[in-house]
Amino acid sequence: MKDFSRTKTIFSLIGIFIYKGSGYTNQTMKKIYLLFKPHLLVLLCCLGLNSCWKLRGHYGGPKSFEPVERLVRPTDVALPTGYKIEAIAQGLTYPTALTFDDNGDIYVTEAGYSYGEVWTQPRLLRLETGGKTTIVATGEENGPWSGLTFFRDAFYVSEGGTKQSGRILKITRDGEVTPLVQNLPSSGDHFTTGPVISPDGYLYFGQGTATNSGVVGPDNYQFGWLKRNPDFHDIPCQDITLTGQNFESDNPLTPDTKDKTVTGPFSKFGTPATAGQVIKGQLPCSGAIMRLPVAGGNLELVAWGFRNPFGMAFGPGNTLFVTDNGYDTRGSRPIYGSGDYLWAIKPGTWYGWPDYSDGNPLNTSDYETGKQDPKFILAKHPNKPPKPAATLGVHSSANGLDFSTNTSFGHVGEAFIAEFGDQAPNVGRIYGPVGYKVVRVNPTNGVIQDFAVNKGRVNGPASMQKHGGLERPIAVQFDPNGEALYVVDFGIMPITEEGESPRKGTGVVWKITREVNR
Amino acid sequence: MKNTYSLTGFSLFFGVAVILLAAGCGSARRSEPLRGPLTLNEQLQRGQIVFMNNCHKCHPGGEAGVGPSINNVPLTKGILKFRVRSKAFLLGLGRMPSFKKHEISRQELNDLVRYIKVLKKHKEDLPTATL
Repeated sequence: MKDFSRTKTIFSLIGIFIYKGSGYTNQTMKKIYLLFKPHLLVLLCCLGLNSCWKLRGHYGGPKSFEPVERLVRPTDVALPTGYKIEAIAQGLTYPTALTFDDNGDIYVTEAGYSYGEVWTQPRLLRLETGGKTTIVATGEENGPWSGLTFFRDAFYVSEGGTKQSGRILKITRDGEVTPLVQNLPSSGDHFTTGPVISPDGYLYFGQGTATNSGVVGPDNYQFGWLKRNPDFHDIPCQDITLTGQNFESDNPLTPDTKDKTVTGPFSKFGTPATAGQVIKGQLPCSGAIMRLPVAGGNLELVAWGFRNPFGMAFGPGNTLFVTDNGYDTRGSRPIYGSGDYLWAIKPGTWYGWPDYSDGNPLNTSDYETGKQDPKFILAKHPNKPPKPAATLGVHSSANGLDFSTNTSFGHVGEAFIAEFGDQAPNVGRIYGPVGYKVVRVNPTNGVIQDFAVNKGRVNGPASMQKHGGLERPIAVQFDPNGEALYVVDFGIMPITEEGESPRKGTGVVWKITREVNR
Repeated sequence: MKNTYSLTGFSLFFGVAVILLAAGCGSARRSEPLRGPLTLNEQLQRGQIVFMNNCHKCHPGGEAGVGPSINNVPLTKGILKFRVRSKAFLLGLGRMPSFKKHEISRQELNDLVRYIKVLKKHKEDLPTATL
């Protein structure tokens, strides 16, 4: 189901211009039209065949979670000269993260939940030689388990909390699961993420926002959680004052399809806000990086004003870097053209959500949509948001990251980032698939280079290319020596007209090594 | 006046037609894994940073994203500069914002356009800094 509305609009406007601008009579215009009619058809045909100029729509097909056969063929992945890639595990269901224990053994989390509203059992698996797996621990139906790290003989897992609430779990080698942090506001669009542990023994984790841009709306009903949890909304980390802007939308919680409701920012669905209204800050909160001693202790706020701070790693100078998924063009307050970001974290800083993107205010024409121009919803901003270390593709879903530290692999000091890939058209229209690859980023100048991409005339997931390359990279992790980069590939997840269709048993773990010195 | 308007209209029409037809001719992919490393002199390195700060998010590596691909479209330096500066492209069509001089200076624009042209011509193992 391709969308050619833009193409039609272009031709209509070109026609109108020729007609209006020429000053010809109707009779003359008719002659011109007949003269150029064949050319217009040729042009339309070219546009129809040309992927560069058409807006990409749904993949098509019914929504299904059933496993499909996934072709895995490393030669379909292009890498810089001197590097090679191999698949070391296949058949995983929604894998999300990878870590190593102090013996160098490899462990992987399976999420237990995916967009599309499908729950399976979250699992911590040890990868054995030959691609087999051994179950270390299992979780409750409260996924997704979105992140994993190992520290001093224990695993630490971020649990998304779709059914209850977000948690950070400590898991022993024999599979005993103990919550380290509970009741995180993780029942919305975005989940509890991370964790990563600093050299001084603090566990840092992220908490994504409930909504796209601060307002609960029908898009959250489509996600599924508004129906399950109609009182849920975003929580600020510090006291905020609202401008009083409200948003009218359909009310999917009532059977009347014509029913409308009005919702304010940081409020539950159907609850309007007032100008000057103060929303009290809390901890834990939405869109934040928080930390606590890994041995246990009080929760602390590190930084806030993020949207979906998914991946995190300590980079050069022991600076914490975080990937952040930018706004979508959806919901009651859609935002156009917001990239994904790599942030260098300065403690105590507000990074701009829900009124800034890329350090720029949203109340400009750059971010406007046909539906509603974004205006500030906060009357005062805690600080001027900083600029990101790098700006990645709009809707690329920049997720897991890690830094190269070994000259034998190369690109020391650069961040390697897994781009999960777009969820268009549900997040906004695009001209071509975005993401579905691994990029490397120089955090000092923001230059982004492709590192592992699928071969083909255009970018896109392997299932679209009909070959055996990358599908949806979600995490990257260097081994303890920094000599190999492991890529966790979530698996096949097309966007159908009924929503996300994540296929079980299609996850893969890839390993990239450098064969020769350049 | 009629002749002037008609000439403008038809010139634009055929200009658009040529661009659109040419846009279908080739792949926009130019990145290192597919085409090899791109050798950049100092000006091109500056242009690359301007590209990353302003263009990459909608045209990742010059490929299609939330905006159309630009690596496989035959745009002259003049058109590229006009497109960057002016929001009204194709009579107001197009979603791309304009970038004023306080956002991208004249020197930065020169560097950016040079980088885009070199990126477009990038072929495997071809030293490009001298293009």
